[in-house]
Amino acid sequence: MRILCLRLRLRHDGEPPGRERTASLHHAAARATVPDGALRARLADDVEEFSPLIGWVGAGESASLCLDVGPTAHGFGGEAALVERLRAWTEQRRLLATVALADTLGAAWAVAHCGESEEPATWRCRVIPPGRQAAALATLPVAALRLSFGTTALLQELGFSHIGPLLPLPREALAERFPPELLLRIDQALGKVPELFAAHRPLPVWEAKLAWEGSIASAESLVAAWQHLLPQLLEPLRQRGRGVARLLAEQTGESHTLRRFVVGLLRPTLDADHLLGLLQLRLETERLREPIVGTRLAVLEESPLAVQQQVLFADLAPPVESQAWATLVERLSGRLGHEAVVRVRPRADHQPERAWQGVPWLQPRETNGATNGPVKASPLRKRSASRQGAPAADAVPSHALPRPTLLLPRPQPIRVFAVAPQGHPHRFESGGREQQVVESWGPERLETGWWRGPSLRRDYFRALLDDGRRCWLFRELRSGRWFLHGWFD
Amino acid sequence: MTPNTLEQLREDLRRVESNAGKAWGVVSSGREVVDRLLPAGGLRRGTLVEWLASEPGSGATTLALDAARSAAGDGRPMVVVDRRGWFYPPALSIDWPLERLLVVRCRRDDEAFWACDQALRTSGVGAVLTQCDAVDERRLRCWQLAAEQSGAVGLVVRHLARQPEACFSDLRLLVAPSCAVGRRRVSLTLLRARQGRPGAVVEVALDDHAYSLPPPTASPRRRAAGA
Amino acid sequence: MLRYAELHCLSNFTFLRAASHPDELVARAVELGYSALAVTDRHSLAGVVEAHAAAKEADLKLLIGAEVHPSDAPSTVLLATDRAAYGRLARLLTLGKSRAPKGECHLTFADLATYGEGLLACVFADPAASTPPTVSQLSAYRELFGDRAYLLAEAHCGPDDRAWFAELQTLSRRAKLPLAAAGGVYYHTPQRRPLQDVLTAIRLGRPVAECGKELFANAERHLHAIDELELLYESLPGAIARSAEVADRCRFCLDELRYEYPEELAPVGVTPAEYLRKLAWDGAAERYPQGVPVKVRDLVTRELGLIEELHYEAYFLTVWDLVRFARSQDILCQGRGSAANSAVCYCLGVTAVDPDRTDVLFERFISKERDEAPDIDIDFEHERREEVLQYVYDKYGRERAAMTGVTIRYRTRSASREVGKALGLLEEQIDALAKTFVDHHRNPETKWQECCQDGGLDLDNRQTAQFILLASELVGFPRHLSQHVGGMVVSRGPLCEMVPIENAAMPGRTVIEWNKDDLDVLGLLKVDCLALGMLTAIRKCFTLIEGAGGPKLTLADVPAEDPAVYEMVSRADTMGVFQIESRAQMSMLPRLRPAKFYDLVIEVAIVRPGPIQGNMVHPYLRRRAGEEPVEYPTEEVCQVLYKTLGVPIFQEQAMKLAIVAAGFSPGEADQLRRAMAAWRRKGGIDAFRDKLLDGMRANGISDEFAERLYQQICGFGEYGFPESHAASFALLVYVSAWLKCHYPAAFCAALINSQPMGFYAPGQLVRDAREHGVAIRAIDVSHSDWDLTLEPGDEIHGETPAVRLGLRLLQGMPEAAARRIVEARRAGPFLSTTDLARRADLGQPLLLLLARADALRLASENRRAALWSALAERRDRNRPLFAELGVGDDEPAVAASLPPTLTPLEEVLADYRSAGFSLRAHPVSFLREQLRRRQSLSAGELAEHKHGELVRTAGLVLLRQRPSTAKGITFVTLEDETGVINLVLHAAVWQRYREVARAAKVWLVDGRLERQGPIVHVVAARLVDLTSNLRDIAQRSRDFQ
Repeated sequence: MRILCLRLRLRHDGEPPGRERTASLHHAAARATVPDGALRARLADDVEEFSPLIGWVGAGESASLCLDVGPTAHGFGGEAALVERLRAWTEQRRLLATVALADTLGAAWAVAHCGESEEPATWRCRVIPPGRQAAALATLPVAALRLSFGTTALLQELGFSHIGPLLPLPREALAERFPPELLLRIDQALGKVPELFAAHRPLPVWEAKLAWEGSIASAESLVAAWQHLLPQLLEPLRQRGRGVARLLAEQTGESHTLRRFVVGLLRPTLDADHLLGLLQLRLETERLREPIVGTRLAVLEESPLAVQQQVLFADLAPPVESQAWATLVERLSGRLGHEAVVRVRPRADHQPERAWQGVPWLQPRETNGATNGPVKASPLRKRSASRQGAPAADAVPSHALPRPTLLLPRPQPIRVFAVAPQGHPHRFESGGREQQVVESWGPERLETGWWRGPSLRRDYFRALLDDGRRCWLFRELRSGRWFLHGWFD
Repeated sequence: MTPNTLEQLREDLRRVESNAGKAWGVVSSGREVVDRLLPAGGLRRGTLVEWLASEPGSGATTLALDAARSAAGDGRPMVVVDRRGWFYPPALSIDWPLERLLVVRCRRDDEAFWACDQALRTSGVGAVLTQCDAVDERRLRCWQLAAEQSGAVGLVVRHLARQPEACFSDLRLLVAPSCAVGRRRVSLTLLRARQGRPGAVVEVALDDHAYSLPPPTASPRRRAAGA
Repeated sequence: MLRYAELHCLSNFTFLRAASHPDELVARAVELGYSALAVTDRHSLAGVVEAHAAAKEADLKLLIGAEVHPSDAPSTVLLATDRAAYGRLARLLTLGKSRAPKGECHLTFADLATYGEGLLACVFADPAASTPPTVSQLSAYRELFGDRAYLLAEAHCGPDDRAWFAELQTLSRRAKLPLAAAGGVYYHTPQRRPLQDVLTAIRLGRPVAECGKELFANAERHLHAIDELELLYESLPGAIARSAEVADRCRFCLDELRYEYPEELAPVGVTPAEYLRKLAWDGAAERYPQGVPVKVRDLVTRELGLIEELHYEAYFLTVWDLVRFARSQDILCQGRGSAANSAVCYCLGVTAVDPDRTDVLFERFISKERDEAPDIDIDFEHERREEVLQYVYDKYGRERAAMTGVTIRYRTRSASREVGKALGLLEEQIDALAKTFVDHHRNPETKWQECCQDGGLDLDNRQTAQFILLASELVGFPRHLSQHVGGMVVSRGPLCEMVPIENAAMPGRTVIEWNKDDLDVLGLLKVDCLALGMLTAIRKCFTLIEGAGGPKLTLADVPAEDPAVYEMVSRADTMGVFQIESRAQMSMLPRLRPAKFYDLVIEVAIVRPGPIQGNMVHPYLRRRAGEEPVEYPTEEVCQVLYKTLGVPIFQEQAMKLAIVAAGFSPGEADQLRRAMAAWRRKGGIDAFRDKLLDGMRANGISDEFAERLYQQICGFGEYGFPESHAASFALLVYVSAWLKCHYPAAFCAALINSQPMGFYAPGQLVRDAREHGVAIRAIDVSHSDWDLTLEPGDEIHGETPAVRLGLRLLQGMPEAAARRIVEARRAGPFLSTTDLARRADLGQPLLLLLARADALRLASENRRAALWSALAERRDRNRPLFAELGVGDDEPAVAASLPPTLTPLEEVLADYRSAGFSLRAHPVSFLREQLRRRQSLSAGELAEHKHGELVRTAGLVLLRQRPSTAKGITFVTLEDETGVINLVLHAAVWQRYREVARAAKVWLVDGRLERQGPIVHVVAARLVDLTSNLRDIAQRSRDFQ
């Protein structure tokens, strides 16, 4: 094995790589940051050209990208050439890199992190020739061994600042006094014991693509293409007894624009016709904006076929013919959009407009059924048993409230004539029509939401009109203005 | 001949008449007084019911919702196709089975038509409720056919003025609120029924009071008037 | 207008639910013209005393009650009609609390049946929160309470009040419970609604925005104006009038609770008065073997007369009993407090301040006008106080004795943190805010804005404005009940019929719901059994002296007025001495130059925030130095102030001045004292201002003098010291100074053995002892005990014993392990690390700890070698013996390859790590060469420089202090190898060098030298962090070896 360890930092200066003066180097380094999770994954993807075995080793500040270039170096024309290519690779990506190449991961990591200088340079590389790791390690500080903080501190306390003096000590003396990690790390770095690292590999994605020689503009051709692709896509799933839960369709336009849409399923399926039907429905609303040159179908989410069925329909009693119902939900959501096909979730909020929430029937699996987010209880309050079983804010029923069956999304301003300034409405004018209020009930006073912005303050009245209809009015307390807000239809 | 046997005869007749040749049975409208008004003693599954009212605020939606919940008994799901975005679920009483309720919010009439059609033809669906003024005869006929396939009850709340001449619905009811002070009352007129006498009127007590609210499943007061 | 009484009103003693202080509710009820107000906290009577005090003053009828939530019946308000019913209510709540975890109360309807007699039950329901009660439930109340049961009609603009009232009317008719109007009040004005929402959020532990329907729908739960109520209750005729009728049935007033003292204090057949008289005169005879001085005899006679007149014998007997018990157990104790410095207390042995030697101010002793119990605090050795407390529980039983409660209130920091969370601020933002709030714990409103700005909040932001408003409103709110440090309440009858009792967090303790102020208001007996570290230290010192062959001493045996002691004190050589060891005190001593006991009394009282703020220190010093004439406007004023050279220093003097100079009655003077104690919290002293100034003017005192006196009186604030306290403290000052002067080794060891206490860390105390010629010997498993011990001195130090440092100084050393080491050592010296480990049963972590502390000198004198061998002692000591031999085999080889021993600096730093100080050298001495190059002066050299000079100095930071009175100034003490350096940092400098100032361990300081007599300060202008320099030297010296 020949392990290449890259200690990478992102540069945040505006200067192009390789041009900075030495004076500004330190400055630039000071503003360099460690790549975060998403970027790490991308870099690992990108660096695949250099090696089949790639992985991030270590966490936080010390995270480093490690590659086994043993099998690939000759393909680049030797290690030196490979290293040069890598240098270009880092410069393209505006990375500061401290790099070491050695027989073992331990040695490469140690040299990359604890070499001559602590400061990240634009590019620094040291190659330890095969078999020479012991000598390279001897001059490095004990911290280079990737030991736990306690062990490193203990070694330093005993005066072992560098690895060298540790190497000739009797193994038993060390084994007796230090955790096993010390001997293990030494042996790994020297190559006496192999060290493995977790390899970065992209997740397996089931997908099927088709590209045309020219471009197509008709929906029929696209559907035909899907018809052709779907069986390919489904076959591997079928073999494993799993079905599609979310399906992505991605079309590449002539101008290389990507148009994507996702079809969700209430229950996973392997039915190609059903999937095609949903895709077609979707196409009716999505339309083709330009001729396309290719399409791709990908399974975003898959689920076991049988299990899923039981879980999802546990709350539905037997008369529901689940297959038909699922199809309905899928078709409605497919054509009208997921947001338009909702379950009703009551919300505990005094403001009428906020008293319920529509939750799409079709949602990515992870959030399905979850409430507004888990309610975090401080440990102090957790102790109280009476509160533990308390229902979440959402579960409070609103049964005691007289609420209209129809609520205007936006309260409609009206002119109201009241007997007393604070009193009940007497008659009102709406849309040029005047109506007498025969009787009214209220006020139900709602004052809420001061933490969201200007506090909402309303006195609601239920009013019986002279034509027998019933409506819901409120007086805004701050301004005294009246609004019509709903109908008891 | 007792009323029961007479009713039995009518039901048999209806079954013969039915296009689909299927009889899905009869469910309560959710209120005893209303049931007594209806020739079948309730709503027949697989049919459409129209609720006509002049303006919002009459109580038509409340009656239709009661009917919908009754039709969606036995764990059947129900669908509300909300064209205007006015439907306000918090008005539903506490024991409404929200987990079986699906609300479709449509921006356009054609979407609403399509959604109703899809829902009505899905087997197992208990009830489909929509408020739609723009619906026409052709559409109602489609819906009726769809409902016949699945056994769902279609409940259409509409404006009085847009009453089409031809009627493909099983029932057409007129809802007129009373402006009398006191307990809320609406009178319900049977405008049309496949079988039975049009013109029958019944008075129904509704309640939007917060307290002493009887659960909707309990029998409503026997205060049927007239007929 | 109709009469209305609010029957259902919660104060903020219903923690995290209600949002107004009791006095706010009372004030608002008075304003609205209510005929009465009930304070009915949820399962609690904690707020009633504050309400009572406010209501009494405002002449409002207060009903005492509580909201009770039985698990099996509708919730109800219970109101006490008379004393007996009140007792049952308190018992009921005590029962409920005893069944439930802290802060909760579990009751059932059956409990109401047991204790319901004489209580009015006002059943209530909230239509928004619960289903209405059923007729049968209400009928049960009717059956149980008869005509004492009511149904409350409460409405808060809910969804349908008309229907709700109709329903209530039906229920009332069917269950035969009369309807009475009530508010279900949670705050006095609607403006408190947001705060109430925040409290709900805090209670639920989530942001307000996520509290949903747990919040009230509107702001209606306030005290309504009566005309508003009339409109509201239009449909329920008679409901308002009935509320007043209900209130009329309650005749109980909290004032009835007084004078319920224990009875069994005197032997059978002897009245308490006779017994007290006998004890006092017996004691007097013992105190003055040569005959009781006339002055003392007169005082005792007068005091006894007053005690008998006011029936306080039981109280004095209780105190005497505690002191007697402590003495019998060899626990050092001393009384102080208003009543303590009396001739009677001296004779009873409660205090050791001889009334013949000091002036006892009779006025501060119990007075007829003042309606309050006498106040005596007893200090006990802090390590043994628990024995005294348990004695009280044993003697009176848990029914009759309990700890005083303490109301823990929101302070700036806790309020800002909780409000921040409730408003959904980010965690980091809250932390940043909390940090800026460290600096000011008192909070004028403007400070809030500054802090918010410092904490990174945008002041124009709506959320910030809300935050400031809510958090500053929350400050001062009760948060929970805790137990007082030492207040014990003892009663004649069962205590739980006086006030609900709950179990304290600490096992074996029970706590009442009322705090010290509440007891004061009601004049209930309480004895403060406090813990005082210095008493422990003095007792330990006595023991050490005796153990080292010295005399057996007690507090009374210490020779009085020893000139050597005053000479030492005047030099400010007082590190470790009680009270006068603080920097402020030390800087005062050379100017005050105390020469007699009364000077110490003044010293103790004068260097306090009160007198400092009242600007009394400098006039006193100038007059004492003869730089300023002492003048008195009148002869009466002279009588009051002559002892303190015309400057009022003690609380008693302020009161007496008000009497003789401003014509106050003694009762009014006492009100003034109360106002002084509370004005910072509540304001209200201004009411006295005019009266004081007018009174003095009428007595011919100049406006200027009067105004100055007024300012001085204000300055006392909550910190004013009564002379009686000062005298008791001064005695401990004298005793500890005497011990330090004559037995420095024992004194040093005793102080450290009594840690934590005092201002100084063990390191400074050790250093101080060394500077006084005491030999200090290092911690060593072969010689050290847990405590510091005295060992025979060596040739150099002669007679003075040496101090052997104890294992208690090592951070992380458990006492039990140390005791095992000492125990094992009795069998003979330890031969090796392994030997020690086996015999004392020590695991590897402890061996490492000892090795690192250089206390493991068995194998070699080398710390590193000791560590190396300790490391070989595996955790499991059950491994076979041959393994030990195996280790021995490779030992020489390893030792040879071990890195070199530590450098001197490394040794010193290692000492600091394990014990916080080093006997080898001072770390700064290693920087000396470098410092000299930078022209930095040592502490010793600074003393030779003049006032006003610009100097540079450096040292290790010992102490950062920011007294609340010092206007943002921070006092920092640095230390180097030659002594300590006193720094003064103004707020601006602190701010500019915040990073260094907060975190750095070694400072280089540029500043201006200020000299007042022998005392030298450096007013810092610039700080540099030298911590890393020290580390660098340690690093380099190792690298170069």
